[in-house]
Amino acid sequence: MARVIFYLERALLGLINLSFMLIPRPRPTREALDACKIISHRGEHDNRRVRENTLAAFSTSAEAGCWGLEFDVRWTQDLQPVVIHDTNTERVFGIDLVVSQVSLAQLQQLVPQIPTLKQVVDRFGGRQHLMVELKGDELGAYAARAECLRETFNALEAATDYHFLALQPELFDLVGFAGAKACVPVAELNIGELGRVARERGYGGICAQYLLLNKTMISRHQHLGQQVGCGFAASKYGMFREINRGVDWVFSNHAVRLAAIRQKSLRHE
Amino acid sequence: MLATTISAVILFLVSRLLTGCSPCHHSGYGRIVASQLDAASLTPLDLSANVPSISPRFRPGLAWIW
Repeated sequence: MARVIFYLERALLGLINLSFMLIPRPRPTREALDACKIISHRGEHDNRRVRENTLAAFSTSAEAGCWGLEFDVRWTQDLQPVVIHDTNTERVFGIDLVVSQVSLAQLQQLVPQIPTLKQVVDRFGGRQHLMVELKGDELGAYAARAECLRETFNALEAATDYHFLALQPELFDLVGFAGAKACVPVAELNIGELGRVARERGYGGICAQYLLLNKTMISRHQHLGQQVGCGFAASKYGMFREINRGVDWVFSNHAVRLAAIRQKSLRHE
Repeated sequence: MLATTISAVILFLVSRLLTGCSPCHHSGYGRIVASQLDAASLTPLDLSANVPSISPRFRPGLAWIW
């Protein structure tokens, strides 16, 4: 049943992306294009030749001129942060392994493509803006994990070089060292409630699926000095729509293509 | 505008149907309490009160796209 729902949701999102791909949008102004920040969601990947959330995926995005990289952080059993979206490695790597149930050494032996958080921060920190999505689990030991994250990001400047994202704002308590401005909650359908929480707590902004954010919400956050991110632009017109609406961060699974379109549009201005 | 509206309505209805989640629902976002941040504490954070716990597999909703 879960598989059916998954494919149904995917088909629905595909249809929505298609409808936005077909509706022409005016080319944004040079100023708007200049200000546009394209963020590669999990790096440039197809999960066949290049897997998501790997150094290879991030390198391609960085070389193509994407402003930012978005990736997910989970923890191994011995409390080492690694970059992977799912709790399990099966979908992406074909190996049935639960990340939180193995040590880092075991994980690296069985699935060496999964980078540690430190590897990604060391290689791309300060060059690309890092959008680090924290994932929840039940491993506990929050103080140790908070300290590990503080050390990992010690050389970077919070909110300038990186932001933390989370579907659950509770997770931001792990990154108190970075301050509220470096924390950005991600909404599912709870955009109204989460938007209020973001404004009250002075977070750096909010992210959501592009259909869920309207102009009123965008301006409400921006008037408070917060930034707004939309996922996931899949086409030129989809990206133009978000730029024209003044969205600060455009997340995409096709960031390399969109970055090229942005460059081309700038040349035509 | 029409496409946006239609798409938004479809997304809302289907997601609500699948997840039982409402954008207006007041869930109350908590925080990790101070005792949980103490070095000695190994108590897992209870996220279940706020959002469904993350399953090792897919769960309906929009979390999987992020």
